[in-house]
Amino acid sequence: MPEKFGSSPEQSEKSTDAHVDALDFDQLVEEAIRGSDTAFTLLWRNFQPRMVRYLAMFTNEPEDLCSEVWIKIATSIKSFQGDSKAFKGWIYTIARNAATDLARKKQRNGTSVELNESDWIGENSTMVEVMDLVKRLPQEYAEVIMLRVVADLDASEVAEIVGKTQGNVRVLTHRGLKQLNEMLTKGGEGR
Amino acid sequence: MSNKEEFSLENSEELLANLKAGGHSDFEQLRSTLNLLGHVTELPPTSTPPVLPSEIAQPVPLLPMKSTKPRRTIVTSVIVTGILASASLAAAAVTGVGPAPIVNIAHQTAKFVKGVAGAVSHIVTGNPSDTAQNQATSTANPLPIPSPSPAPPNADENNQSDSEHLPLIIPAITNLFPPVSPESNSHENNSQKPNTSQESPSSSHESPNSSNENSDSSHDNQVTKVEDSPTATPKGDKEHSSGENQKRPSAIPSVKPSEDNSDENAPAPTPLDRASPNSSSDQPIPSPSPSDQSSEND
Repeated sequence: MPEKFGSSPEQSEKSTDAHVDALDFDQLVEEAIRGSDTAFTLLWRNFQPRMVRYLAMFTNEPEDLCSEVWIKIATSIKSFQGDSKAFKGWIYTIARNAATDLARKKQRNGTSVELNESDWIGENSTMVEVMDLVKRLPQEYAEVIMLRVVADLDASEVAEIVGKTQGNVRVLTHRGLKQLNEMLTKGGEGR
Repeated sequence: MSNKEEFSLENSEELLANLKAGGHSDFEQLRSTLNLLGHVTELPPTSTPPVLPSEIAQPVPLLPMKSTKPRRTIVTSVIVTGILASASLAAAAVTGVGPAPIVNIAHQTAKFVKGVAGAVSHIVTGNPSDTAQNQATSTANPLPIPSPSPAPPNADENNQSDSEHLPLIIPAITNLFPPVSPESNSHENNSQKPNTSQESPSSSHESPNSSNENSDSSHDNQVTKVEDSPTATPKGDKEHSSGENQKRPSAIPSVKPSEDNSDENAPAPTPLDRASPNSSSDQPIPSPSPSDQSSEND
């Protein structure tokens, strides 16, 4: 069953891209690869919020970094070969590489990456607490959890992005969730 | 604590799989947290991406390329190699020491640079005929350069010719340190024996001006003329070595005025200096007397 993308019916009436909203994800990716700006815009609208949240794990200015990621995607989307499932993993791989490059650049310049959740989460204090909990996890645990929960990728896709086996990704996810659960339990008990 | 013990790998996978379904779970707190983490707000429909593929298709290849480390290394190595090559060529041109191909190239380059410099200097002074003549003398050297110093028999004519060719003196002076080409070297080496065999102290004393009338650019022709001179004598093996030793420093005093050369204490002219066209063809060289030979050998 093809995954539907795009706006809600109310929004699609207002949108000029109504004819694209009905397309399934595979067709959307194909159209974007062919150079359709409308399809690309729909893909961006779908992935942008999740990608910003994922990149918030690496930097306190995730939207700037996300813009760079989308420029890279737009630059090289015509050379992409694969189906829609591979496309999902491809764009998150680009995002992860961009975050890694940024971290290296800041490390060379001597500026440490101090995350400040309030910069991107806004007034949602609950989300700040959740992100704070996730960032307390070891980096590899937090990354696989973010990719599986926020980016909504399965273990095989995450394994391709982080360069590990599926089993390793499952173990890392389990350990991360277990540790997160422990933190939540302790926090609940402490309250 | 019971949650901690019960939470297994299967539980985690099941939890993640059921996150979107919204069903109940044994780990409700964790599930709600993950739900909150995975929930994102939709963007407004009017929002647009920062850039579209159609917009960046053309500008991206035109972006200036960053100077990467390998590129800097290549450029630096090319510059250093060029500097080293030019320095080695200049050293080979000045000293004449080194592998034969390098010396050849150095001499050719020096000739070319000299010709260009002469041409430029004559363009600046505005005398194109002299330019052509100078180039001819500096490269092929078909004709000997007229003597800048007056000769006693036809002093007026020489003075007139000196005034005419006065601009030629400057390039002639600049040619005092020429890179001796391998051809001229071979000529010199081949012709020094007969040349030195003609050396006669009497000729050097009798016509001191003949040594001043030479320029280094006319050595080759002069040597060939001297070979034909009837006054050539088989003597002079000793003088050959002495003349060879005096060869390098002799280039500078060859342009001194004739008054200085008339001094008896002046350095003896080199074989090349003596082998001037005037001394070989215009003025008959007298045969050396034994007393002169002995004095020179001393």
